[in-house]
Amino acid sequence: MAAVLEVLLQGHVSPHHLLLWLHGTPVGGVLEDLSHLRVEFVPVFLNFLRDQSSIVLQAGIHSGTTPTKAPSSVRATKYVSPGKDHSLRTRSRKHPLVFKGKTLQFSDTDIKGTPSNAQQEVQSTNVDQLLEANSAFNSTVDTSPPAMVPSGCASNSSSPVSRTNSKQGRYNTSTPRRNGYGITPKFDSLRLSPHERHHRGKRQNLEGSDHEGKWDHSFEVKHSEQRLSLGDFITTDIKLADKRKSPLPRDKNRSPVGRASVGWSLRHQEMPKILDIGDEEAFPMVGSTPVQDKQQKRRINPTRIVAASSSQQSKTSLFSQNPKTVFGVPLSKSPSSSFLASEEGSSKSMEKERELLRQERLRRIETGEDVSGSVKNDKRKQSPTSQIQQKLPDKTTNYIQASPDLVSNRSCLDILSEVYAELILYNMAPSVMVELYYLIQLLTVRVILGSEVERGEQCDKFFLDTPHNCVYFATKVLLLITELVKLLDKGTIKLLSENPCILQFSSELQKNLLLFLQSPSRAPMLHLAAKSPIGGVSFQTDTDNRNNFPSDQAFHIFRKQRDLFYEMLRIWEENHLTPGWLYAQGLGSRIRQLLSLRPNSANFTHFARLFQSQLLNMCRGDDDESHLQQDSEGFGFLTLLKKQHPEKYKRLYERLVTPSKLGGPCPPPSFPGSQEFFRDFILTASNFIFNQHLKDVLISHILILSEREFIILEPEDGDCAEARSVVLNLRILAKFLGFLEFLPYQTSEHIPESVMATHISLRSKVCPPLKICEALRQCAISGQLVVAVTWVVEFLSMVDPVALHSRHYLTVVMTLIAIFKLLYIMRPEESAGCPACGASSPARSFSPLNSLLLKLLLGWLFDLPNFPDGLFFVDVAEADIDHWEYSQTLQVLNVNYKCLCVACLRLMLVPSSNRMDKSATLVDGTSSQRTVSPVRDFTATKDPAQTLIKTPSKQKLQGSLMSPTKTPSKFLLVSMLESPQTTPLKASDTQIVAQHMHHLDELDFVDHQMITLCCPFISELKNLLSDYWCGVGSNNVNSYRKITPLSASDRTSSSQSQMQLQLQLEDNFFHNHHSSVRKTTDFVIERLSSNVIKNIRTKIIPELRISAIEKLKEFIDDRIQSTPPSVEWTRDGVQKRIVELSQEMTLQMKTKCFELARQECSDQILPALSLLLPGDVTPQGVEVCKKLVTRCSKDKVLAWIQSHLTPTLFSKDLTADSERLLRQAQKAADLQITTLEASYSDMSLSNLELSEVSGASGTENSSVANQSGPSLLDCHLNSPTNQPSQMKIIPKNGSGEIGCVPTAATEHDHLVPSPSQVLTSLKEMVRVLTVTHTGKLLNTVSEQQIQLVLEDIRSTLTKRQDVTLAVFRALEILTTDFAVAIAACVPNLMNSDTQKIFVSLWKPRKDEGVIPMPGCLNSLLCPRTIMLVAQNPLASHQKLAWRRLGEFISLLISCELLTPASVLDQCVALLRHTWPQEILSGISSCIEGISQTALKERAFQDDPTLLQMLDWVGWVCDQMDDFSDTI
Amino acid sequence: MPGTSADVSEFTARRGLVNGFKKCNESLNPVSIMKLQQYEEVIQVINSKPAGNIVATLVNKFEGIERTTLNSIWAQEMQKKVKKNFHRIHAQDKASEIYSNYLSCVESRDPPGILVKMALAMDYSPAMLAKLILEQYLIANCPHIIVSKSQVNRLLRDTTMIEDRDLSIEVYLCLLEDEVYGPFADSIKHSIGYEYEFFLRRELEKLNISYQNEDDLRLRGYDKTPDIKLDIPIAVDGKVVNWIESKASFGDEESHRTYLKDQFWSYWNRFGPGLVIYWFGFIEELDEYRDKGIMLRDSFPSNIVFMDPLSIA
Repeated sequence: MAAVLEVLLQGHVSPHHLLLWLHGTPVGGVLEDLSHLRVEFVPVFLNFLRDQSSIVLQAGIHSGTTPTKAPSSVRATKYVSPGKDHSLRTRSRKHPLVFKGKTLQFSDTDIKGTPSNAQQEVQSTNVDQLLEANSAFNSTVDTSPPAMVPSGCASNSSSPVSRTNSKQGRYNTSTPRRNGYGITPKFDSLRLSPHERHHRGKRQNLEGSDHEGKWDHSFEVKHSEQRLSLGDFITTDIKLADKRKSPLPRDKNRSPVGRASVGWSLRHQEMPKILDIGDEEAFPMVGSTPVQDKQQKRRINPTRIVAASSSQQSKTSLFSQNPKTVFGVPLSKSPSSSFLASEEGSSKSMEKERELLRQERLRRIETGEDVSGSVKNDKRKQSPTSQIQQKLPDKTTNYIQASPDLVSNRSCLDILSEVYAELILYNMAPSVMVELYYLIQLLTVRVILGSEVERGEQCDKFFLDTPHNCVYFATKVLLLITELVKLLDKGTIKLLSENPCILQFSSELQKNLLLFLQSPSRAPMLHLAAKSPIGGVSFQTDTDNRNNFPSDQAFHIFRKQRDLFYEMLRIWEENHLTPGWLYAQGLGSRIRQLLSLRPNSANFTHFARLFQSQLLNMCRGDDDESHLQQDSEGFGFLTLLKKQHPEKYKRLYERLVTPSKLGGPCPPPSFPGSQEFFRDFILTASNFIFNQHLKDVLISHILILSEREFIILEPEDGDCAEARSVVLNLRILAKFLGFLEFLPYQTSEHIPESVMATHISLRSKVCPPLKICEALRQCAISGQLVVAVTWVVEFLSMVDPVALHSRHYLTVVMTLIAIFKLLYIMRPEESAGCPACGASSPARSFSPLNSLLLKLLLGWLFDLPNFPDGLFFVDVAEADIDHWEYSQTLQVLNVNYKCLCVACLRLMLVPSSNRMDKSATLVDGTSSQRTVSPVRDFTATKDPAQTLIKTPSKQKLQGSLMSPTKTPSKFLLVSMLESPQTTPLKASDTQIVAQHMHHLDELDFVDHQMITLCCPFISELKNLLSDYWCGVGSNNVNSYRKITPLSASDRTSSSQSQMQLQLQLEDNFFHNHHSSVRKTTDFVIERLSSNVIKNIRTKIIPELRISAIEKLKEFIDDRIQSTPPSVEWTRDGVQKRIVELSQEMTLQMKTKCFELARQECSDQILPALSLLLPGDVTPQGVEVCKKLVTRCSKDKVLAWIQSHLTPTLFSKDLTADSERLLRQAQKAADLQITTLEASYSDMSLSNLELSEVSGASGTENSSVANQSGPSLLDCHLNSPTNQPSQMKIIPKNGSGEIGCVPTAATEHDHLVPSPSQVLTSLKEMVRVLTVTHTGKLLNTVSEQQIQLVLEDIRSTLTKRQDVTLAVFRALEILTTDFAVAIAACVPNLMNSDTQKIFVSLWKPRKDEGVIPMPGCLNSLLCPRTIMLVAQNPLASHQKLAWRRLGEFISLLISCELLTPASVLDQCVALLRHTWPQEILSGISSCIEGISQTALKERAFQDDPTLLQMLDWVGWVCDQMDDFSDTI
Repeated sequence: MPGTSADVSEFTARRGLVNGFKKCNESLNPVSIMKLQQYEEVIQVINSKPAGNIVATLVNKFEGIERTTLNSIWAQEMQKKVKKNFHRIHAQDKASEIYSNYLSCVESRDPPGILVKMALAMDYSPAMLAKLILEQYLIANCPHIIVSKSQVNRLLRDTTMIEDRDLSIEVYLCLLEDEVYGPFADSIKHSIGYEYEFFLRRELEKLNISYQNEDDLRLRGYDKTPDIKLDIPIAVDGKVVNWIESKASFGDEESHRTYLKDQFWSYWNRFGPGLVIYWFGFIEELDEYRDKGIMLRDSFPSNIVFMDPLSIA
């Protein structure tokens, strides 16, 4: 391999040829013989670069013997999986914070258990604490870098060779070829002897275990932590002591430039340092009160952290400006600085920062009180600090300033950079992020003065051994890949452009970047799904109601499960941030309870679905940290701001969302935010059945979403937003599916190869849950690979160590690699390409940002710990994959996507190559056509199959084109608009007016926000740059502007909050309706606005255009005739006229359009909605939907009008027309007579065409109407059947629901006493009557009161609608009791009036009774009544009472409310008891009274026996008295 | 026992209080929402067992508070007391002891009202005591049949069916006496609940707010059914409301916690944020989930914002 490099560097082979060679094109010469090395070249090259630079990057860490942990840019990213190559660092610096990150931890029982490891750990921690020791430790590593570098391995490991190899060895079995890894040109040599393996295995246990188990998130220690570690200050201190001896002489030993810049070095001394230990705020003395400035700053509180020269004592507070602070440097505010993350802010969450602020405010108050009295104290307290300060070094003096003049080996660097850049651009390096990260590292490298490695005899072999060379190389490459860089977000680009090295080394690059920055950016597409304030998953009748369960029991158990689940969520939300709270402990029992409630599959299915819906619900908004604010006020404001001032919102967003430090360019997968809950749920439940059901649900949902086709007609509109949300949902679903799928196979142990082989062969037989390749194919056909790849990557990111070696997944991975090679960061032009790649011209290509996202995601996947090393470089032909499946997928890809050859790529991507040997590329291009690279083996066979596949896919396209859901007419329309009559619009305009079917992949579907959401690690680039900025900025002043967000009082105007509220209401409305309601509404909005726009296009625009042209023509004719000779002069006038006209037209157009929109809205919406909405939506609901549709359609139309119908558009259009008209007019001027005729015929011709157009559009319209279904006509036809059910007003007049009440009031009078009140009064009355002593009763109860209560009963029952059956029954009983109580306790009040009132209440309803015939009348004469009567010992009272009772019963009998038989029964029942004499005689008198009355009435005459019976009873009662006497 | 000395004029004076839904009662403007501290004071007064009608005492003592509120608090306190003592009193030994006490009173020919007096002495619900005695009576007198709950309840509903005439009147008096337990009290409570729900619905209909009530929802197979589920959400005090639950009681800590667990959170889980109306007021501090989506109120909201998509055009 070295041979190739050597040939290259010696200039025998040009980078271009090298690349062609790499791509499989036969290139004569030296490379011919080396073709067997082709596959290995890229990894070797990448590693070569790392090795080259490792010295410098290392030097950054350990300069000489002083182990300064320099900030940021020191981590040499050894190629091959940066994520896997740092066990030493993990070991040596165990920062406690490192493990805070939420990462996947499959086993909580870490392998730290192994004694040797544990010991080591303790050691290392100790080492870390004792920094001196640490320095010693590190120096042993670093004192001999030259010895290690030639071996081609990272020098930051004490035993890199064995370690890395052992790592590699794990993947021997299935990947036939793997990364050559520098030293081993032949792969076979990698196959290790058993002995070696054994040895390695051991090492692995020692070192690998530490990070394997944790997925090694400790990698790339967070910058801030690094910087902030106290050790930095102390160790530099030591270093300074060392340095002070001869700082200047050393300087003088430097190159002339260095010497010449003594002034520079002085200035340099004043350069700010990163943090000042003297800063009492940041590092307060133990027990000291911080001294504070009382200056109150509001809201934005810029804090400059300025280092004083070492001789000065400075005291810079972090949060407020201290008057004593020395501002050594003039302060010029760089605009970018506001974007810099402060150290505090970046490493801590917003919450923490606020907490800090709060404390700070508190402190201010305290100090404010303190200051006056305790100046002396302060001084005393200060002194120890200042002592420390004096020892403080000025670290910044120590960095070497990279200088273009000191670059050596330029030509070699040029070659290297060219090769490197092209490798990146042509998708030959697996991870674009890792490469960018490495480049930025090189760019921001800082080497401490005097720490450079002495150049030995190997001098010529090192090209990147000085910071100068590194920076040169980095800028050179960055320049070459500018197009790629431009795809990054503007913040990063800005930081990059402001990097002093860029300015120094490549002003061209800076100029490019600045130019790009000035160009207007795309309107921000803020699509962040606002975290819905609705917490739960709404209950949907068609999936959740009783019918969906096998039994009532299952249904009710699911209700419990649902509530339990949400209870857990609430508990988790409250507690999960509390330290010491353990998920399993807090929720474990509940989870088990929930899942064991009913081990029934129906319940599991339901619960799994709920789980999944809730997962999506919660995690969607979570992606964006800024939305984590819980308080709804703030949230509301943000949402509002987002809607009202998207630009403002975006700025705020950028400011507040500080780049989070994620742990390097390739962090392990994690479960951030709420995902943690769901992951832990699965882990804690560890319920096999649940997992299976959840998997089923996830799979089906993933496939449904993934198969959804998005064909975007108008790129700006909401379809993209929907597609984005689908993509984000898919990612979450796929991640959890992956998690579940691979969960059983996860292991923290290293799997020996032999075991691995068994595992692989076993797993290869098992089918994966999803046919991923098929899904990819499908998405490729429908032009939305961006959808499929994003979720496939998420799914695969969860793999266990074995899975990717098995056949199925290997096939998927190889497919992904094939897709990866199709991702170009520029869009090839339509006609681009030589015959070789232009062959499949109709094929699609990815939009740049889409490909960037996929590149980042795939690159991330390729670098994950469980991704087999070097698999990326493996030749497909040699991989053990399902070749049939692979080739099928590849065919589909090739048919649908543009695959460019190197030559075309170069033409497109490397701007300079246009000038360079064009002929060569052309030759290469043609030759490449013939060649068949190993990779292309399958593409070569594609031809027959291609046609085979093309047809169905085409059909599919057409199918979707003709589908009634999407307007089929857009193409037609466009062509009509551009009919020859109208001059074709210019390219830019056609884009506006013309419409194509857009597939997601081609659209600018992905934006920066999406990239940040999907690849949060991208912010690491920004971090590197801003860290550099903070640490070094030669002439720029480092000023931190610390943004201290103070909670402002709620000043949102009422209208704003109103709007906010309305949005929330809408959200809730849809939440609680079936999802079809939302879909229908969206659909109608889409259709309606589209129809209106279509109408505008086909009718209004042509009409107005004609009239405008007419006017223009008149004008021109006018001019020409008045001043025939000067056409030029006319042209100016025409131009003016055009501007006028177009403005006029735009105005007219707008009014017409609004009118049209308004009309269409009012006419069409309701019928459409009534037809489409589900039947159970109430009329009010339909009305709300109608309003929604009206608003949104209007908005959409308006937006379209605003963006499309601009005066410029018309003026351009008219200008084109005017040219033609002018020419005609010119002719006319020449030949007046002919002109007249000509112009006439021209006009008539155009008119003719026009009429055709309008005619066509008319027919077309009707056809659309027919296709799209609910036209007005249809609606009328359907209305008789549909309308009633649709528009039925559900009667809700309150009564009738508890309908059993016999008396139903027709109207409700709320002034009438309520049932409960009447009941209460009645009960109270009865109570008083029965309880109170009779003597007092007459004073307390009056006849009126009794009558009032009885009247109330009547009116309540007749005038109120809220009488329940229970009340009615109670009234039956209590009225009876009341009557009895009156008769028994206050017999004189039971006069005939009162009796009549009672009877009137009890009469049948036809006789206006309200409590008809209460059943309890049949127990009037019961022992209880007798007891009541007996309560009063007065004989006269009892006598009266009996008489009244008799009268009353008689009355009841005569009114047919009581039958004599019933009375008889009651009497007989009475006689079963023994009664005292007086009672018995009372009863008998009563009965006698009844029978006597009855005799008078006719009622009894028909029933003599009954009469006799009564007589008998009366007699018996009398006799009983005698019996008792005799007995 | 409270209420023994209540005269008729007092209860007739209640007329209009329950009925008017606070609108009629503008003169004093009594409130029904109270701070926890004040609530605790009320409880203290109740627990001090003042002589006479406790509710009347409360009304005198806490002038600024609605009578219905105080009544509801008192009733809830009674319930708590019964709940607390239920197991102690209904334990077999204790129950038979009470029953034999009663029997001896009957034997010694005490005037009717024995059980009411016993309940007062025990500080226990008369109706519950009556039920206990009735059970004991049935056990003692009908040894051949197993006494079922429904049987006891049937007798309670219609005391005339109780064979023993002394027991019949005793139980009857107890039921009349009890304002918290027993069929009469139950009917009243049930009716109050319904009346308020009915009132709520009428108010909604007046405003043309479309909704599904509990019965509609149950018919459609919902597993949890708030009193009102709005078809189109409204906003009250700037908060979205999707459902309304009407509670004709005072929202104290205990009952609110139970409701939250059994009902409100369940509604929230399914339908999003909503509104609970405690018609008789609640402890102010309990309104802690307002932001999260469970809002408490003591009356029908007056400041309703309707969903109007056109308002933000």
